[in-house]
Amino acid sequence: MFGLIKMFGVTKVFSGNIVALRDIDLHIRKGEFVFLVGPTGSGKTTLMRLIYKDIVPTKGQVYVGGENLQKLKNSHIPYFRRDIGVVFQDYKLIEDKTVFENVAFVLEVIGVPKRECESRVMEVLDRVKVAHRRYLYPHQLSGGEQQRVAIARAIVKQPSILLSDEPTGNLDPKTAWDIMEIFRDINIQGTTVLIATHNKTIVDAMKKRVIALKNGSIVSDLEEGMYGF
Amino acid sequence: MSFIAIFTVFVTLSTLGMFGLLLLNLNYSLKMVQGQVRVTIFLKNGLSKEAIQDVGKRLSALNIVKDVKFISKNTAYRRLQEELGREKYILSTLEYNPLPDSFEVKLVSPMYASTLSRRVLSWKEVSEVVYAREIVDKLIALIGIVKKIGIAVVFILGLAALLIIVNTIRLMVLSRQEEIEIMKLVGATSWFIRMPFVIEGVFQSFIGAALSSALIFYGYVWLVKNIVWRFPFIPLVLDAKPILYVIVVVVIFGVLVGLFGSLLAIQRFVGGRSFVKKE
Repeated sequence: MFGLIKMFGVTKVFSGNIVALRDIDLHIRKGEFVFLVGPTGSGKTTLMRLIYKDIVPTKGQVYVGGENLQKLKNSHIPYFRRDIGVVFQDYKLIEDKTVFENVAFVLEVIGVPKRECESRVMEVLDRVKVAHRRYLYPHQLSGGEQQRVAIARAIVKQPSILLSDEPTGNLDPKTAWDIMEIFRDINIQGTTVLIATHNKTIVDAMKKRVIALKNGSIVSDLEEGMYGF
Repeated sequence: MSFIAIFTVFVTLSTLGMFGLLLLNLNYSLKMVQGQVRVTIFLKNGLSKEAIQDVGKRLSALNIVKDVKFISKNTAYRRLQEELGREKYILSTLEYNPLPDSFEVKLVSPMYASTLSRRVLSWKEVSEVVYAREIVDKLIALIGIVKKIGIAVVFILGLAALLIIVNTIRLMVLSRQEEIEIMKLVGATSWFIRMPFVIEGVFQSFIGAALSSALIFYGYVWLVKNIVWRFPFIPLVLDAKPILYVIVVVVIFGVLVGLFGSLLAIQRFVGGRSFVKKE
């Protein structure tokens, strides 16, 4: 996959006639770092869900890595998703697996041999600075540590695209910065990063591309943008 | 592992197996009774030895006839004397032996009794055909009913076992739904997600089937030991082969139910279309 995301005239209407996105045209280049900002209900999460084909648009086309997602067969979706890392605001860690197991299981799922798993898992756990917590369970970790584990799980498969929905929502400012540093490092190594966030301080400080959504439409799209809609 | 599921499968398959054994024994008893059903063909008086022999040959040549036995009038008379016992003095009042020559015919199936009767009544040598018509008709009807009940019971019990497995696996899937959703998001295929649940379902059914096989086998051995010497007149299947056949059918049935039940249970959660939400 080439880390490219394109949307043409994308509209998404949920049941009950709820218009989440209206006529979105978007082009994110390989290796870009993009913030998606907007008030609650502006369509940020919906836009992200379209990228990993959790849902499909009501109108329009979504292309990821040159592939038209509408034409992607259901049986190919697992293979498509192996090149996309997703980090959720509520972490979505498996409670009865340790930190190590939570990350390793992604490699198991994609068929990486066991002997290779351990070294790759330890490498990413070191990178996000939770290796010393590898035998603990999610409920034994702080919010920041759980978020790091969620990031480790997303990047252990070396995806071309990393999506993150409110990664710093529940974290204190220092921890939030630490997390952003991790995302910046990942991006430097070539992964396209798209982060939906309400964190004005971080957005303004990082001077990356900012796409602002309001009522389901893009209201601004600026390189080195500031937080605002 | 759900012990309730294993126990329920065990109970269902044991009932199925015991019903299978019951059918087996009923069938065996019926076959024995069938074999005793005889058609008696009475011949006209005054037939020559050659004519009688010819009738015997013609009867033996029929493919519905299993065995033909000639009963001469003298043999018939002696039999009647034995049957009458102390009352045989009644026969001394007769000036001659009124009993005719006859053929006793065993058929391949009591179903053919009326067919044979209609056929031989048209032969000029035959005066009358007698068979326990009512018994034969009832026997045929009983065999038909037992087979139909057997099929219905197997179907109902099989369905019950399937529904139990489906329900158990579905509960397991629901309790691990979040994990399944994460697996779908990180790139697990349907089969990768399905396999542990299918293995669990088959394993539980197999354990249930193995336990029910043990109960069926040892239960039957105990039953035979206790019935044969107390009630020797009750015909029971004593050959191990048919019993083992019932057991093998029960185990295979159990495993198949486990396999299809778990596939059915999980399909809704990991079928291809479940990877994209319909919202």
